[in-house]
Amino acid sequence: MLEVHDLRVAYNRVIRVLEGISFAVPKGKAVTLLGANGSGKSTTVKAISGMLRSDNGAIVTGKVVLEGEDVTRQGASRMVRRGVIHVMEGRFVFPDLTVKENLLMGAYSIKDRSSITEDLGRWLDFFPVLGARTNTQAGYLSGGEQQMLAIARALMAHPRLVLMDEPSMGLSPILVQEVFGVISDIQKTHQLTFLLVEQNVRMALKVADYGYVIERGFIRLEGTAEELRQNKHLQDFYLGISENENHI
Amino acid sequence: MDSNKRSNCSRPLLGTRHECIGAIGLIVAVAVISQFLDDYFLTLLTTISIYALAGMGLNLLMGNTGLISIAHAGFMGVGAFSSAYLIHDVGLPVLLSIILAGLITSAVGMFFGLPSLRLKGVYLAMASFAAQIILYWAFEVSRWFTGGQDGRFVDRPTILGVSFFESNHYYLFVLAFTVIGAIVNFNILRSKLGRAFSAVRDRAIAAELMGINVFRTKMAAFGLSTFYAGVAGALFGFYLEFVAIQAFTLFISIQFLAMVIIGGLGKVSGSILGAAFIVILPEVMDSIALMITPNAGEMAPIRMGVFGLIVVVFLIYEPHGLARSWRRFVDWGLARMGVNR
Repeated sequence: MLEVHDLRVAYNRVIRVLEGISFAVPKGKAVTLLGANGSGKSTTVKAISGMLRSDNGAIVTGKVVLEGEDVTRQGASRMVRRGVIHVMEGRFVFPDLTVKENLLMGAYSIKDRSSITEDLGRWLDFFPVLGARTNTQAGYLSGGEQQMLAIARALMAHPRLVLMDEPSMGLSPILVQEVFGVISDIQKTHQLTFLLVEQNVRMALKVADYGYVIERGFIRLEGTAEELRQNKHLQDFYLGISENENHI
Repeated sequence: MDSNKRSNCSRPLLGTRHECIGAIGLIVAVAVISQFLDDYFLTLLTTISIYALAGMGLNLLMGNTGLISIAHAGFMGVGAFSSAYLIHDVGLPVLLSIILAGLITSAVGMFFGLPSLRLKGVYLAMASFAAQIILYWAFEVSRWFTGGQDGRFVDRPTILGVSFFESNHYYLFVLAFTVIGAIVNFNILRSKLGRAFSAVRDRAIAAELMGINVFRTKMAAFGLSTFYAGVAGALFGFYLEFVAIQAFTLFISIQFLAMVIIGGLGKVSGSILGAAFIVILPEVMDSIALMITPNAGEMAPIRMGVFGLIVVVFLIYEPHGLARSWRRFVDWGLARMGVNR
């Protein structure tokens, strides 16, 4: 569904963040990009969704291909119309709008109004926390609720590919479990394609089918979720569950 | 639009049933009463209605989209001179000229709105300040268009044989525009475009993630906002029967800013109440001054100071503006009458 070829990205024309990364996200699968802070994960998804420009970044070389079509350097609103929905890190709900209005904003690119009403009902049922607070201003929701809202809002746009950036950020462990439970449910029941960016490797590998590990702008490692779970390097550096405590 | 869509996606033309009945009652009452007022009160009422229209435009920009313009008096001037030019020099019919004047102002407004793509807040304010200066300068030098320092005369309109020469008749003409402007404004806020405005104001990045073209939305806000200003300018010209560049100074632009802020940002009622406030307050203060001293001229400097002070006190104690006070008053009244909203 999505292929990224040798992507290089720089900010302010000089700060190189991605040094040529390539990966693929097959249709109906969940793929995760793992890596530490500053490794270039968020930059990768921003490059795909067309959101680099707001950070003064640009794709230097490389290609982003969506279902066989070259979509490199397309603007954010174009990508949304192509069904690529980016749920940014930090949630970015509209604080002054109500839950319902936030969800309607999600359907901004949808022309068919009757389907919007239908979707609204469906997702409010699916997310009972939101269903109970449709007329609450989103700014008054808790962090976990806002994350649910950001996910539900993305789903309102009938996404073909969801780019999800650090849904676990700033949430307590129990909420992280809840959020990932929801992501996993949606992915399985709706056969959605997900590209999930996470620092929380353990949770990400529970949801994803396949994973890539980015380090300082390069892809260092890739494999199925099972392979990565077993991988010693990953266990040492990210999971902290190594048997050998003397590693550097 | 079928009934199902309407019930789900938009509310009726003027809000809830009570709001709608109240609004229609108010409009009819003002229209009837205006026919019995003397020239002094008609002047106030007409100025309020025209300022309210311009205020709605500015409020769409400031309150709803989070942008700013300190050039709205300048934009009003574009509308006033354009309509005068189109009617007297080109010979177009009045209504068409008013609409065209709105569109011309809209084009000018979008041009001066271009910096909003890159600039925010104070910086955008400075850019629009420059727009005001440029427009005023352009008025001064384009004598063929504006008459320069001498200004130009405009006739009050006659449409399909109906003359709006008398001030009370002309008021009805203005009121019609203000009412249509308010209804359109109200419905824009409930439309997809209105939601895009709020989204850009609240979180431009998130708006982009929803597929909203932020640049186009900002341009739409500038275009709509200055269309209102242009039409208001045209109406203002007819009213005075003389368009002079001195009516469109920076001071008036700043007064418009104060008007929307005091009225209530982002609310149609705020634009109307703010206009009423800014027009009536100086009059009230003049009356008080006359009570204190027969020579009100002596009080003029103090008047400005007191005016400023009242504005500041207002901002501190009613930051959401008169629209909020009005809402509370109406809710209180309805509750007293036992009406369940």
